[in-house]
Amino acid sequence: MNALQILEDWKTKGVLRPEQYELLTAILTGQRFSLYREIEIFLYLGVIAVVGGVGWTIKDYFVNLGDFAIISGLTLFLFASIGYCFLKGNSYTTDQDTSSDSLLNYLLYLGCLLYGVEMSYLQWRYSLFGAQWDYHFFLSAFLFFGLAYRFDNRFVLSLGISSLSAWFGFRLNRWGIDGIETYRLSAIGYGFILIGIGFLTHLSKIKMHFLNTYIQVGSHFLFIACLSGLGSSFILLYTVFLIILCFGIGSYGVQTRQFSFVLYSIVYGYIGMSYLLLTHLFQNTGAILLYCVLSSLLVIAGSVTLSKRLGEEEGL
Amino acid sequence: MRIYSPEVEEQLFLFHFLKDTLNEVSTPVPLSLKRCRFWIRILLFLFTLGFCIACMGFICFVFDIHHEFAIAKLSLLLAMISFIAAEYQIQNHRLYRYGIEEALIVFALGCLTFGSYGLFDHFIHEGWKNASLWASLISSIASYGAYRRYGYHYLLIWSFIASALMLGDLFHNPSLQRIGLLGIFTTHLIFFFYKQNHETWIRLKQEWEVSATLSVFALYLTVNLQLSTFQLWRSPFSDFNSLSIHSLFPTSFYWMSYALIWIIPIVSFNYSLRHRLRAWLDISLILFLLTIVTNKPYLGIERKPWDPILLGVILITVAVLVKRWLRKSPQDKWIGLTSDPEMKSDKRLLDAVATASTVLNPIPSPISPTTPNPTPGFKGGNSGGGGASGTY
Repeated sequence: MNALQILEDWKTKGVLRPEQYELLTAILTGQRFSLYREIEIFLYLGVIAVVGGVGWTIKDYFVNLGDFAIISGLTLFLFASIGYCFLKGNSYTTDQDTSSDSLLNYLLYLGCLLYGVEMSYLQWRYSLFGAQWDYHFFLSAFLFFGLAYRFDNRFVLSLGISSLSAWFGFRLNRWGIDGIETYRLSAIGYGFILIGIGFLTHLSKIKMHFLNTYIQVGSHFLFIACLSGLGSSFILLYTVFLIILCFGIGSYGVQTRQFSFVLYSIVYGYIGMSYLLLTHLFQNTGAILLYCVLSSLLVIAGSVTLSKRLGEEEGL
Repeated sequence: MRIYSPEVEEQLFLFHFLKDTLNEVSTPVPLSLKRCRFWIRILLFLFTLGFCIACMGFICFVFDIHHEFAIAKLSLLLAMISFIAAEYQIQNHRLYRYGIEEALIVFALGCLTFGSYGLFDHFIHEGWKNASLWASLISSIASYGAYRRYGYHYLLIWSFIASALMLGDLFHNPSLQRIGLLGIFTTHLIFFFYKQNHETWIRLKQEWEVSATLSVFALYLTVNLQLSTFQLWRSPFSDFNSLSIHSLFPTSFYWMSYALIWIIPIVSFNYSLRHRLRAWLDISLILFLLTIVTNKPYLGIERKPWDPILLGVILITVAVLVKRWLRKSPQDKWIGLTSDPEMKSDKRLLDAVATASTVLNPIPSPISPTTPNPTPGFKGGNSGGGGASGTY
């Protein structure tokens, strides 16, 4: 029996309700065909292309266009797009806003990206922030986070996260902590702050669905910082930190059934442990190869056991 | 040929379809295959592949195998062993997209390609090209066979790439290479198209559809000379020399290919929309975008900075118009088309894009123009008594 025949069988046996049967067969036979994904991807690519083109055009033709045209054009568009979102958008809710028009989301995203272009231009032409250019990132992050929460927009949230990461990168440099340690500390601080914001808003029941984005980005920063720390003089500290992180993120992944976190924990943990063992313990080629064979086998066995525990029948 | 029975795969497909469409799955779907979650599948794939490669290295080290011919023989032996291991895992443990058996098959194919190259290189003394030609041929056929048996589409893609490498070795004339590839991909397309239209199992029908779509994509890449001559990759934003590509091919061939890069997406789009084929539709849209991106270089026209703006505006306008049009039509659908998500996976995809955009977002930095800064205000002159540097 093919899928359609099985569905029909279930309908006659009463396993499926008639409306469920109608919906499922309509999708399977193509009588109902959603263009949602294609439309959304077109909008996203369109926004990216427009912003890229605007940046390129300003870069090459600013003399011909003139400051007034560029600044007024960008400002006008910025206010128009954000104003339109305030006018047409749904009122603020702490829950996920599923009824808002996705066109507004992309318009807001476009407005925010063009704001970034305008700030860059103002800084270059008039040195708006002077030597304190990094404050622009902080202000932008503040603005983007505000707009993301107001309009429930994940794209703008991602912009806020990117801007905050840029601010962290510059800020620690100003505090006089130089070299690779600067970036490591900045990444750790940033990772913790992101995860902290995520949990704080989650516990406050404000846009709880944003938590995943915060942890996805924050965990990568923490893992990468830890791995880079294994080559530093604080090796023991970073090893302990990596182990705690792997257990923490991995357990979170298992508990919330988001298995990408399990993958990150195992892969980053494996890289870290391999680095330590291969640089400090195994020196000859045979031992290294044997380590690779045995450790891979161990991970495979562990993953199969984990997979069995999590219940394979549930699929993805 | 196929290792999994169509009935079992159909049940599995139905299970996933119900999970993706309905909120609760209380329907009795009997499942006899052992599967795992997507991320664990990736993990198992990576570590099994790593394990196989490490084993090979360890054997070479222990038995002191250094000579190329000896390594080639070992590769062929390991290819056979891992293939048998994969078959055993599937038939005895009923693994299905589990990562382990996939890695074993990929390793077997890699070893087969490497081993056959070493073997031919040892026995054929007429230069390396012959050895690589035969190795590519074997790899292409073996990958295609493995794809038909296990259904992994990435093996079909590898089979196409190996075919292209083989024809690259076989013909020195670029036009002949293209014609050869066109022959191979068109044959594939016709075959998959036939299978797709005569398949009664829905799961397999969708699989043939994806295979046919991949053939269309390969066909397009062969036809689009601007994309597959790799000029674009070298200098994607500059006005690269389209004349050099033009000079590689006869004029009639060049312009025929130009016509085809427009015809293929249009025909493909029309067909996919009429028959409601998701994979075809998505590929058609990608092909349209590629055609627009390569149109100017094809015609030898210089790119302008506002080209992306135009492209973006066109994309947004098309999306908005289609969305509005579908919204206005009765019951939010037009001849079955709708702008609302039908599956949970549609929403998940968008969420993933939004999260990934954190990495892709451009971090604004002060614009560094290609033309000199006209310096507003007074900051000192370059010469004369106004101050040579402007900083005191």
